[in-house]
Amino acid sequence: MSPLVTGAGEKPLLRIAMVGHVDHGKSTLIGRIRHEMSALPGTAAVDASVAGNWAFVTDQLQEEREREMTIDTTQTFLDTPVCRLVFIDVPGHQELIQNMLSGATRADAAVLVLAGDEGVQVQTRRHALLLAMLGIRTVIVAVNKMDTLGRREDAFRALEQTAVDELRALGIETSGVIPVVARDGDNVVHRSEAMPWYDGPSVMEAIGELELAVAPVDALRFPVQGVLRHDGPATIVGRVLSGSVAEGDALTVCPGGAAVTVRAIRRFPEDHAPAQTGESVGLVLDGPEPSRGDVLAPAGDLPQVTRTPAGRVFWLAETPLALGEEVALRCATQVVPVRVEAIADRLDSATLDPLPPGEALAAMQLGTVAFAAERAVVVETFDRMAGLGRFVLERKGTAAGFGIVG
Amino acid sequence: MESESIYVIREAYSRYAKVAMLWSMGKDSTSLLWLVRKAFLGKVPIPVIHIDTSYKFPEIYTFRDRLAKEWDLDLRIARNEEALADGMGPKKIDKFACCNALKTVALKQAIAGMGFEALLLGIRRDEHGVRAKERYFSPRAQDFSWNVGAQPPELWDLYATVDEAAHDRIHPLLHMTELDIWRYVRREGIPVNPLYLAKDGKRFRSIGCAPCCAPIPSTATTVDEIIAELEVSREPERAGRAQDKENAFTMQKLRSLGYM
Repeated sequence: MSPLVTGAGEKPLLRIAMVGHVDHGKSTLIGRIRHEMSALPGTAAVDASVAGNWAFVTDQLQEEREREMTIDTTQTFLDTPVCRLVFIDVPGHQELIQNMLSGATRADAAVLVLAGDEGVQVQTRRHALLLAMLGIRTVIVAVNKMDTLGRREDAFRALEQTAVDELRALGIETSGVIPVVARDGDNVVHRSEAMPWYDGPSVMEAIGELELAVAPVDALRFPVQGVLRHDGPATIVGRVLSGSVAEGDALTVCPGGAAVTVRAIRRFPEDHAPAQTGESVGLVLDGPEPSRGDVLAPAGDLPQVTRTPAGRVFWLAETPLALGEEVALRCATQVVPVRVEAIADRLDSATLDPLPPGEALAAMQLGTVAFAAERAVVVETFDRMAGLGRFVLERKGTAAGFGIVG
Repeated sequence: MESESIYVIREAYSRYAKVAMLWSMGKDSTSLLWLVRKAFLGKVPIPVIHIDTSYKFPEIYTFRDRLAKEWDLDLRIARNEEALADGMGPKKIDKFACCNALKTVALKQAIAGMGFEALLLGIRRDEHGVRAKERYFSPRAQDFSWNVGAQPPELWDLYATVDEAAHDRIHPLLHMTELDIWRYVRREGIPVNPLYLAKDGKRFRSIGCAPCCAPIPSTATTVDEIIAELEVSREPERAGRAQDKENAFTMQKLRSLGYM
């Protein structure tokens, strides 16, 4: 889980992705929430022209409205008395999976929307798999279009069981399964009187009860973004990925292992207080000057430094990732050319079934990939430190796949 | 929020040899300029471009020249002189064509003339439904076009920079709302263009060209009062902007042609 970093006087942030199969009602659910919550002060009223077609709240492109389908991901904000909710709508269509990921990689939690009349479909499964891979393990399931099932309890319980089982197989324990009619507002914000057999929370109530796993307090990781030289001593700039850094700290530059000491913390206006997790700051160091891509860490607790990184990779580009191919691996502020050495344990993301051994990873396939890097890379396992445990694979500067260090 | 923006600004500065920012003297791009100063410890190491349609409010020009001097800015002014000589204006032709000629085309000329690879802009997701779909790093083709339906993936904060893009638009304020900006202005003491403060019961909530912006009824004469007003308002931010009203998808069309 990414750390929820908020500055002084800012409310905590909870970013929720709406995921699931095409046309199961993700945009409609967000639009309906926006509509019902727009009585909140400081929230713009929903345009009257979208009444009844709640998906138009986020589907603002001409082609999205004409085709009645979300094409691109959208973020919409809702300030509640206790936190800021960011709803991330994503397209459900298979060919738009890159837009789904542009949204979902920014989420802390998810609502998996499942249409009652269709049940679990290809994209339901694929999106659930991606949530598990992205480390989003806080998931509410909304069983939508309950009207097509006569709002009946037995039909709901069967779908509830399927959803719970499928998510559990991916390592996700659901934070509630809710029968919903998004269009009419049943169990969206207010509890539905038309489904008296259900006594659980509405979607918004369930969101309000979510408790996010807090990232464990960890040793300092400071990926170097660049070096400023325009005045005085060279200043190393970057964002504190984890831990904190104070003047006088003795640190190690990874890779390489050079020892440095923090002579000064720099900000504008001048302020020398220690920098905390999430903060963008400048450091003046005594010792050899690090460069962009290096990671600063305390001598006693260093990240992995390796020439042979490996991870679970999900491939996006039309042209498969082939054995022996060279791509660029981007991790934190590092970009390192890597060659594909081995591909194993391939999986079809539509069925979650294993694939026979092969020498390439095609779009929508998942596999364990071992690389040989041109120079040493600094990584961590994703569970220990998400920011150094995830990477993007680029071809000609375009993200073609991504991976998680296991 | 500030650290996220500074991270994006520094990422852009580290990656491109020639990067500039657009400054309209409004609250958003002035906050962006302030963030650039913070990112580079008090200096603005990149050129600051003002797309001057010549139809801006006089207060905008005064504000621009004052800060340019105080903050030691490398200010570049971009005007579509040919179109202006030809009498281009919102009264001559429709607003879509005017915005396109005096803003988008002027920007194209500036980028071509100065050879920038990347531009920082102060747009935010919550100000318009189409801007809600933007990325932090957004590539533009040679003809400036933005294909909103086929944007490259942007995963986490691992921003990719597409090789064949003609230039990239960088949006460090994407995650901030209108209220966030005003609270940030208050917290940081960022200078405010006087047009935002109420005079005779009216103030501007969004500023651009004088003929196409209408003030809203307001009694807010300080930043504190603006924040208090917005905390209970349910009116959308750009309600006073003529451009958005002309046609349902004007903003989308303008942006697909390279508008900001």
